[in-house]
Amino acid sequence: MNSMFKLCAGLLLLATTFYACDDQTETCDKAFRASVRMRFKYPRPIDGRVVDTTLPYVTIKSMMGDTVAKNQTGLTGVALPLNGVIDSTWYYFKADSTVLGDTILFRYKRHQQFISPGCGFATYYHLDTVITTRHAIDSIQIINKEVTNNEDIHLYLFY
Amino acid sequence: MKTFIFTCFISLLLCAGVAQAQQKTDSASAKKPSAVKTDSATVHLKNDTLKIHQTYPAGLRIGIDISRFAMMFFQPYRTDVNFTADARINKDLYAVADFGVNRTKHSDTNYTYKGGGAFIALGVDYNLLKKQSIHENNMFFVGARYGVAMFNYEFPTYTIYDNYYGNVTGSVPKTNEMAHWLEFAVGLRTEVLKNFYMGWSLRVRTLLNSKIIDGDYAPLVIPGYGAGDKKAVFDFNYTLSYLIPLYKLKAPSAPIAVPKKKK
Repeated sequence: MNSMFKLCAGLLLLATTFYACDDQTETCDKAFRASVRMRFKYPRPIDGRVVDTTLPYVTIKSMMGDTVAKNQTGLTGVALPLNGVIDSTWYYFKADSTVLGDTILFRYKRHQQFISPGCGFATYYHLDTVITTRHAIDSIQIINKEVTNNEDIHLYLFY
Repeated sequence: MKTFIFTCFISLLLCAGVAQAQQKTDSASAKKPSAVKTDSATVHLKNDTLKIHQTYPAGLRIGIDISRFAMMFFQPYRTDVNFTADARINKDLYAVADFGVNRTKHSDTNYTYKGGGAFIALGVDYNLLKKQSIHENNMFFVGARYGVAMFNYEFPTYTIYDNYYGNVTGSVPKTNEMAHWLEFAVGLRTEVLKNFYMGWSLRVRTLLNSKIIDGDYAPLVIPGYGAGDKKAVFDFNYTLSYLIPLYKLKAPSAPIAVPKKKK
């Protein structure tokens, strides 16, 4: 019983020491870069039910003039980074080579957040408005206005 | 690796401490006569009942937590100096105060940080060693404390790296904060030389005002509490302390009936 107690106390102290001595500034365990995550939606002609859809040849250009994606196939959604320097970002979005492309403009508020001692700071965004042209896109639904993690879906794009 | 070596060292100290406390306790229980010392006892006889009023020395035990100095090796960004004081209230109960200061300074490619402050934690320890003589102050204890820290911190510079849209730089000005927490402790304290004590304890703390953590800029370290971005933390300490015998306490006395002589 007595040796059992010593063993338990030793293990407990061992675990606590490991925990307490850990240098939190050394490793980043919550790597984060805020992106707007979108899903493509389409109302089925048979019953009008809205379902996920795959776009055939997606081309995306950023406001910096770069091509982010070119004729990419099999996409059901995308994640696009927001500009952390200013309060708006736009992307040119083309779902298929046969249709006209659309421009999507994101307006948001930014604030900096201390993520963890290992990761430092990141920018969090609060989406105010999302504006789009309607060549191929029918409408946009904002699902979640807070862009604060790598998992949430923020927008549905209806075609 | 250095954490592992340090942990092994601490475990050796622990085993030595437990063994010593046990030895002391066993020897105390073996030496039964010490429990009925007569030099500090007064005897009253009234109505065939014997009452023994016994006193035992108590005082203020002041110590320093040496584990904080070792901690500087593993967490070079923080400097802590922690003291502990306890005073015996009765046979098993001790009033406890932990207090100290902290200074935190960190700099890497992501941010720079400066912070500092002081804390005090007040509470009680309850001695679970039942076999020992009341004249001894060895302890295997459980305890609870309420802690308060006043501190300030700032992020003089930070950078959010974005190689596409461009880096974002900024700073967070100095903020004054108060944190308070509840703390539970279990540990050991043994007399290694006359009035000199060594001991260790394990601590678990839970922050009562988590507003600080939930805010945009959590501190790196809360003095006396630990990691500033966690709502509950585990910690340990290793103390060297000295008992200043200042006063005497009266031991609980039980009346003993004296059997009447047969006529």
